[in-house]
Amino acid sequence: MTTANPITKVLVANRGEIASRVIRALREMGLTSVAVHHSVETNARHVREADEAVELTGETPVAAHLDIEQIIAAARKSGAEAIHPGYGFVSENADFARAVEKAGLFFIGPAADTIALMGDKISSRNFARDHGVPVAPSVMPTDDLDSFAAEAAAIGFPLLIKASAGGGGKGMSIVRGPDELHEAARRASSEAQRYFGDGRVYAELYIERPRHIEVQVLGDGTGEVIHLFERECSIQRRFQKIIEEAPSSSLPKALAAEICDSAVQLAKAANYRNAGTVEFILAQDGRYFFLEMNTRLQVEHPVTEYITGIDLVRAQIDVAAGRGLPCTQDQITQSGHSIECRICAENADEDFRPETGRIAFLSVPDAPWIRFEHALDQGQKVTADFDPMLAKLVVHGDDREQAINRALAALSELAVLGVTTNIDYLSRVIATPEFRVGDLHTAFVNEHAEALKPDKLDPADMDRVLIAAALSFHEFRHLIFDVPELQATIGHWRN
Amino acid sequence: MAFRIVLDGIEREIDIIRRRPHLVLSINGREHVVQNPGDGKTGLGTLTIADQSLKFAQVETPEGVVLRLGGRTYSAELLAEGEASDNMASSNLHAPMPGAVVAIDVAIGDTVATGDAILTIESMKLQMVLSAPRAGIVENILVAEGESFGKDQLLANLADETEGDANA
Repeated sequence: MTTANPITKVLVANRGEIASRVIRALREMGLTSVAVHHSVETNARHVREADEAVELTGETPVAAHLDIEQIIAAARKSGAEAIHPGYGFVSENADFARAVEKAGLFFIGPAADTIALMGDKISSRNFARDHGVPVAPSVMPTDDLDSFAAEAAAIGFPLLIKASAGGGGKGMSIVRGPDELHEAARRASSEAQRYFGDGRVYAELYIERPRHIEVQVLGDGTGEVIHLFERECSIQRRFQKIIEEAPSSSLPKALAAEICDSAVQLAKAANYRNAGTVEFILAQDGRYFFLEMNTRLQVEHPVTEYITGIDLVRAQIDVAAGRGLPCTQDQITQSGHSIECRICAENADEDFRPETGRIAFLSVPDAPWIRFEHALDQGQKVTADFDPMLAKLVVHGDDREQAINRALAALSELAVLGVTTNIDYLSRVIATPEFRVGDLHTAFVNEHAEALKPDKLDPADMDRVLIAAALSFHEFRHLIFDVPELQATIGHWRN
Repeated sequence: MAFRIVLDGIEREIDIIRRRPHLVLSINGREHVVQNPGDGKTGLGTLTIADQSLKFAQVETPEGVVLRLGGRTYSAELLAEGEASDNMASSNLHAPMPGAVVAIDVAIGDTVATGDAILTIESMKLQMVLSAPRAGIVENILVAEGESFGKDQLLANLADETEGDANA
């Protein structure tokens, strides 16, 4: 190519809110977008918003979105020079990245080898350790209980002892002091032998009430890497984040800087190209350990965009096109506080069970400090075909308190009726005194399960709700308003 | 006659006391003057109850009304005369959650007893058995093996064993 811009048309290999988000960035950059979709989502918003669309076939809609060959064929057919994978689906599939490059297309993501390196728990952990990034101390699997106990005691307490072949909590225990260690190791080993036929045990430092802290990085693939500060994602259910914020609520400045520097160090060592996220576990005492690196755009990227003013999708495309990073580290500042709430079709009061239905009414709050990222339509069916996340409500405030108040106001105004969602639950989480003061950890929703149940309404409020409900039934209104004048005047309807 | 509305699982009685000059409703004996009864249309609405304005969003679906008011979501069901609020032995087998059919354990025309397996389903990687809510004859099976279904979808229904006006 001799033109200044090697990327003029981009296929977005995703759906839902993230496809809409990427398509919006493409439009703002003056680039042409190509959507992909399964036949069940022909009329979906992301398809309508894109300049062009290609249908993928698949036994299930998800299978279609995972079909590497079809996606690449769609890109070629449409004349796109690049593929943006969003998050999920093929975004962290090294084979996909390799196939895209082999097809002569730009992959808007890292090199395939980087995906492979970071996609493997052991190799990424070793890579982090070898490049000076803290990893949680652990004892490698062994069945020599004497050497195990000596090594484990050297890590310190509390320790988590597990069967190395294990699962389901079998052979797992928390050891709080050296006195318990030998007995716990012996028991874990014999249980492991009994259940798995493999008596090897391993141990790692047990971190109580950990926080999930992650760092947004951006690399150009030649060793230049900048960070866009940290995010806190400690509010999780079923090991998935539901509320994220930037910056972290109570990380001392020096520690935040140290964690961000560790992330940059890791990404530099990997010659990282693309936006990426280095995830850490933070202990209550301030120690932090590498968890994993996500080599793609993150669901919660808007909170970082809000506090830094940097468009991460645009930056991804610029990097892929060889235009380098948007700025230097010194040029990045953070301003205010941002909170994201993941709106999911689920019943939070019944173990977060996914829900389906039809969105009969959608009303979205509007203010300069609100971003509602979604691809929803009134009348749209919510099926079990895809992930239950429907949308993201993201707010910004001058400080955390204002961001919290704006999140609560926006959640209160948001109406998604026709399918059960977690909107009320998210409000209850944010309204807890513990969330307000930033006393967060990854088991927050379990620890506060009782307090997070809906309050009982007082009778006066309940009566008002009941009247509003009654007057929403056509049948009830009919009996009030569609009666002959005489009977209406007499009153008291009798049958 | 009072209407019965189940709001978030609790049944309450609501009665029309007067229509003129203002609507007056009674709930479990407490009277409320409704100066503005709203327009009853789907979406955002306003009511005035005891001179207080109330903003809300609502939608009426076949299952009932869903209401969003004061940052909370409520679901309400209007009970027909004589209808029990708890689903007693129903003839219909509805999906408790979205999933797919793993196996059909009966054939149309089979006689089943309460608790007999009708369908084996898989939902969120868990297999479970849907059993007959009451004794009867399998009248319809509305899904095929491997077919996916949504929550509350009717999957099968039972007819009475003997002809006649049996009260299901």
